[in-house]
Amino acid sequence: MAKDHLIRALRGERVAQIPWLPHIGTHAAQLLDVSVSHYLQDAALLARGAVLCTDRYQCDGIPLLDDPSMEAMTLGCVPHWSEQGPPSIVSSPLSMLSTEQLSEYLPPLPDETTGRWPTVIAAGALAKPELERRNVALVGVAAGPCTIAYQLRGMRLFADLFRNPDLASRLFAYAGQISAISARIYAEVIGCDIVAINDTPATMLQPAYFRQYVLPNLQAAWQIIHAAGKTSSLWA
Amino acid sequence: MASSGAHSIAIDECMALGYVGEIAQDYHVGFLGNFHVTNALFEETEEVTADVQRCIDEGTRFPGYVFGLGGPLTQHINSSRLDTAVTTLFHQTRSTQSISSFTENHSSDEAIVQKEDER
Repeated sequence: MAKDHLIRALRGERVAQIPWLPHIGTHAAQLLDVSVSHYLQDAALLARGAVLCTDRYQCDGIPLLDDPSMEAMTLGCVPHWSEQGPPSIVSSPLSMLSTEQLSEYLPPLPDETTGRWPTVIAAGALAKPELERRNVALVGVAAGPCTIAYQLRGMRLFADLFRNPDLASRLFAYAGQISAISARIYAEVIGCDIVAINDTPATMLQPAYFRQYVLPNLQAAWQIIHAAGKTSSLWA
Repeated sequence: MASSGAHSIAIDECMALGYVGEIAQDYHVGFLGNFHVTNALFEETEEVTADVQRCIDEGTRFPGYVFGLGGPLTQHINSSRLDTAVTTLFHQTRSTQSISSFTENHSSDEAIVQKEDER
């Protein structure tokens, strides 16, 4: 009942045994003895990594991919790949634009054919039956609105919050659409049992900004996840 | 976060787990966390078993608790320390059958552990 216990606990129930769900990051690459850049871009390695971590650590759920820059790369951000750690964004398409230009240069919305999504979807197809056989939940981790807005705009995002709140609102709304698209792919296309929105940079915002910019732009993702009968989680 | 509309929240290692548990209970959501990855796994300055016990003691005071890491594993670690964390969790909270299963799986991974420990 590993998966059942985990899902019931994530929905606020007290369960007989404490479930265990690791924020696995790029640890599977270490176990597989491959570089992180290779691991994150290879469907078979992503799937093997999820199963290997599950078997080794006997967890009740496992993320398929735990890379907060994945969405940003589909939108034109340029990564610097690392051997041992997750990639970092070194160039953002909106970072040098004036506020007047920003709205007209928002990248086209991605879909399941864009960027690394085909790799992630293929990894899900490989991992899901293996995890089902072990009664372990497959977890999709999507980037949250603040993460995406920050990766697209860079540090200028925080100046926009003060100086151009209307523009910041549009950028966060756009980023929320990206989070919702990721949630849909994880929940409906890959069939993840749990979909988490990971929005660590949002914790840098004061509560009023979190309520104004982040909370409204999470709702579309929650609606999609819940309509698909899946369990949602907000990671920060 | 608890009022965001999500079924659950996961928090980083800077938060007091018991405090988050109170909030999660008020909002009827699950909560996940927050084993000290930085000190216990990256810097190895904190005892693994003690921090797992902290999570168990604080987390189980409230419904909806899920044991998890207080941050992603973004650098190489001594995997045997994470093995120890899981063993501690299972010994404290799970049946004998589950512990036996974990020990068998762990034994089959000994080669991996030894290889990593050699690095």
